[in-house]
Amino acid sequence: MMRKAVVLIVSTKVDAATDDVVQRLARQGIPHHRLNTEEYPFHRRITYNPSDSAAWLQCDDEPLMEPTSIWYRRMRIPSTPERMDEGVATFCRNETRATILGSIIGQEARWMSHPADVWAAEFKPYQLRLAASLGLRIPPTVITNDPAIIRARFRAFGSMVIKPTRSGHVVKDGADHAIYTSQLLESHLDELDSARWSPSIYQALIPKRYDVRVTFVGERCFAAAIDSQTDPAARIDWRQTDNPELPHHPIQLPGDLEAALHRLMRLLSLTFGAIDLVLTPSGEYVFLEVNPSGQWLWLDDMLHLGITDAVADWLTETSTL
Amino acid sequence: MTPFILRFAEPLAAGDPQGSCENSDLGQGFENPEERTSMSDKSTRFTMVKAETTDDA
Repeated sequence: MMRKAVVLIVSTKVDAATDDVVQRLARQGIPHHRLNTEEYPFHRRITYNPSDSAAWLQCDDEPLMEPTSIWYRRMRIPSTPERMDEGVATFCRNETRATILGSIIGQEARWMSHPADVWAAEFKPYQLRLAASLGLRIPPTVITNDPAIIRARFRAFGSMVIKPTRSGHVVKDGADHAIYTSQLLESHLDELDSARWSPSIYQALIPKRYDVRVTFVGERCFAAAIDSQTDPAARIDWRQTDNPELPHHPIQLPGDLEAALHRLMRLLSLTFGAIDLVLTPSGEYVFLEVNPSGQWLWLDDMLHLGITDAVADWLTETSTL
Repeated sequence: MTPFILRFAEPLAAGDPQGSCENSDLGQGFENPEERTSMSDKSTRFTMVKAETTDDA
């Protein structure tokens, strides 16, 4: 007998995509629970009963029904409470992460996507290797903390960009910073000795006709062109512009490219992914990266692609259980 | 002792959706997530692309 859909969403209070999907589920009357990870452990209580499937997980006094689908969207940490030692707070946060993840990873459910798969897929060096093995074109790349190699590749590549291997976020001087893909210039070479403190991804700068964002939801594929070359702030990394009117339009990917991207998603065991490509002036698509928990709301706003509906539909599907 | 890549790090504006959630102006105190409206404007929804990492550990 087909089970009635019950959705567990592991996320954060600060995610508008989660808000929109939750609204869809609520409108459809789908039972769901949104677990905002930063609320634990300092603001809410969590209880896991490994041998009691009827009361397997309890948030404060609310027992959760066993989910048919789990959306692993975000894992965020709370700030340190006043008067708590920082090391002690880190211990509490790590134990909480182990409790939340340890409680859910063994659940037999439809996953978008399983934490172990998301963890692996967020390593960009791994993505690049898999993509190349599938015949996707990737930029000439080196990942290193060796200044001599970076200098040599700078000459060989002609133009070069730098990007992080995993996290585009850093707390620096006590403030949150974003690390975008950035172009290396000749004037930067004198500073390269400090590259040894952290490996990074160094790639040839690929000339762009436009950027492409491909969003996969299960077997569904939504592709959009981002006309990044019309905005100086968006030319290297379109996320760098704050212009919400940056031109976009829906596109149809070539069939062989879409098939290769589907294979990549299956190899990574991802049921959701936001893939960044470049279309070159000569008409060639180049793979940059896949974001296992990428954003999409602005694409629905601009192009009415229906990605939010697709995510909600996927989460409420029970026929494959 | 700052790695080269961080010379390209740019401060996030207040309210940008990254880092510790409790340091953000967004998302405070919504007991009922269905009623949230704070991120409904298009500009904010566009800048959400700055926060795409699943786990900040």
